[in-house]
Amino acid sequence: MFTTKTSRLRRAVALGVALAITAAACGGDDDDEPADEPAAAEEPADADEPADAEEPADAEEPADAEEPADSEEPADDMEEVTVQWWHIQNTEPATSNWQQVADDYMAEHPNVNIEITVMENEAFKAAIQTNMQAGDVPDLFQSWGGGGLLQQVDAGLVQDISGEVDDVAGDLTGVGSFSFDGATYGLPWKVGMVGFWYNADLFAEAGLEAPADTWDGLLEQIQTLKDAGITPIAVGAGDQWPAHFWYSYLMVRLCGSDGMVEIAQDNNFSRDCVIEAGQKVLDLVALEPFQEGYLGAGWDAPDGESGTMANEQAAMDLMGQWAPGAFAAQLGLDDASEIPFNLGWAPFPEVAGGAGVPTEGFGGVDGFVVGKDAPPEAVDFLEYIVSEDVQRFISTDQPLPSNRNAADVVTDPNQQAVFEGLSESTFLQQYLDQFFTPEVGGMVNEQTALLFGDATSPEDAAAAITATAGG
Amino acid sequence: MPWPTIIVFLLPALALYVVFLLIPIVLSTRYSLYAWNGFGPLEDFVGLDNFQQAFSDARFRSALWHNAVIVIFSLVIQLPAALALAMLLNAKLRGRAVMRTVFFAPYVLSEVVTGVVWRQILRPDGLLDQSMQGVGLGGWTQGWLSDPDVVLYALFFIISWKYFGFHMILMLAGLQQIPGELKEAASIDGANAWTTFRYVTLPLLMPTVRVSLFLSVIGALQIFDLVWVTTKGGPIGASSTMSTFLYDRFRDSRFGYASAVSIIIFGFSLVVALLYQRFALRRDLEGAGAGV
Repeated sequence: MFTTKTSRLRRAVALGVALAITAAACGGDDDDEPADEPAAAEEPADADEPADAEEPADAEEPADAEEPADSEEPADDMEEVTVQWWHIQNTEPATSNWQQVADDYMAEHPNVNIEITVMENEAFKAAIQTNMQAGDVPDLFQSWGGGGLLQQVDAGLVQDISGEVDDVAGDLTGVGSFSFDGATYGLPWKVGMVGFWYNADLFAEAGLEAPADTWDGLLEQIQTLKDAGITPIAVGAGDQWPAHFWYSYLMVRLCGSDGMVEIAQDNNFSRDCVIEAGQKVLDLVALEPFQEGYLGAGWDAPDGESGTMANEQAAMDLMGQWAPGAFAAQLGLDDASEIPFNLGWAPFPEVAGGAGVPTEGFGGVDGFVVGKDAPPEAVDFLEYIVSEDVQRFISTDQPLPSNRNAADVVTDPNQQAVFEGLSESTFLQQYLDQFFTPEVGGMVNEQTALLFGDATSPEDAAAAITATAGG
Repeated sequence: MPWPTIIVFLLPALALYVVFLLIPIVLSTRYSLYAWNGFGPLEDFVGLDNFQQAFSDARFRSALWHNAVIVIFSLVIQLPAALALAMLLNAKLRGRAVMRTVFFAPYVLSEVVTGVVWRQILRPDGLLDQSMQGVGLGGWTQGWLSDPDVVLYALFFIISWKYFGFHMILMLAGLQQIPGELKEAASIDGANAWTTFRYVTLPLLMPTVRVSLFLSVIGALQIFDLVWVTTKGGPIGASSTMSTFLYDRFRDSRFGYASAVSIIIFGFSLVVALLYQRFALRRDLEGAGAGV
């Protein structure tokens, strides 16, 4: 279905450009459906096309001339279009795979030049802010949707692509994170959910099998592990967000989906279930279950949460589905399957007395959104990224594909468990630090760290977040 | 020199100064008066609310206090230590040049490298902890960078480790400008080592000490990179400085508020600079015969 759309888009560009330059050349390799012409003419967007297409083309000409591939191309009937693509897959093999995705697309669409900018997560967040402020928005860039995206939508920095992607969106999990009031601004390419990654060998050493399915049971297990001389939990509270998984998941369990939706609407965290979640965090902290120096530890560092888990110095951590990859990286391994201990996955436990049910999950999606000045090719390329075939290529066990038709690429039993959890979930609360605005998210993280440092009360933490959220 | 020539030579530097310094200061001042998340037009004018909020924000106040602690410790511990070392290395010692180089070396490292290295040394069960265990001091190990009660002192140690060499070199240069005859004369008059230092060396070294003091205070007020790399201002804000607080607000997408904080830091630094100008620089220049 999207091939016809592609060619229509191409035709639209081609037509506009051809008109702008001197016509004639149109035709060439896309000799399909001449009926496209009126359709293209109908689209008001056409008026923009020549301008859009010309701009990047001017800048790109010299660079392109150097590429042998281009000079071999027989007289091209389409104006060159550049798509700036920012992604954060800065580790191998992802970086190469994504380059491959772009190369494949460019081979199929010789007039499209995809300029990739790869950045580390934190560097990306800083850089995108700066670019946004300057009004220089990349055509296609990493986004976690939610409150951060909503700010960009309100500022008119991203494109509403609803009409163009509706057919693809139906196959994807997590589109909701990129939609506001019925308008879609991006598509998810990866989905995930938080749960316990545990070292089954260490659990066995303490005579345990897997993390308990109740909160009280979990607290008992923590004591059992400690008695066996094993550090029960690794957490990177210095980075704050890894710790916020605990606080947030407890909120999801205690407030339930209805409560979480209410919070999203009235921004009021000062409610019993949130305060009780804070109290449960304090109960946990009081058991001293964490690795040494956890308050200053980050997530991904030799002395951080991932390093501690990788080196078998803690029995479990509460983390997203990317954790095994990070453990492997800490050990210098190429693949999570080479991790030299038995790694298991378990969902977050039920909390007695909470309004939530086990099928309510906590996780998030990664997607790409389309910048305000992006050419139509950016949308087309985005559809290509989330198409079944590409999803099969870039997703294996990790990342988990957003396209449900590609589910069979998930073969690792742990990741299958995560994927099943996602598919069965009746409600998925997105990471609070991404769901709300950066300011509120930052405050959630900050208050979580204070709770982990036993430096605030559950009431004060909830009140501080509420004050920032304006509830 | 003719004006056209002066202007031609001045323009490039002036252009950079205007574009990268003056304009940002003016813009930040403007942003600081708005509630602004960094996107879209400046619409929500809030006057001085951002400033008021900063001074009533417990996190900013504790960051300010951390800056104050670093300033005080720098003046009370770091500078005297640098001076003492400079006195030592000004004496005729064997291997003096090597020692000077060794002590100055940390200053040459970038702040990021310093932060990363010390983070590794001070991590739980890291080099320091293991060394201490090795010599039977295992009971004294601390969560150097993870204990909120300890982290600021650990950080101050790292800052001093990096900068004392710089101050030492400054003082050494100052010491070498003091004519030997004066000390000779003092010793003929019966001055001992302490009185020579107190009444001859120190007064003549004061211009250098004041420069050192000034740079130290300004540096401590603005310190960011080293703190960010080493602790990110954590754990739980226990090593935050005004600049890391500012950066966190920037990451929270609160550009108006962050700008107000930057103006406050600018204000503090300006006051220090003006005080230095008023009470130190003028006198030092007079003393040096430069005339004012």
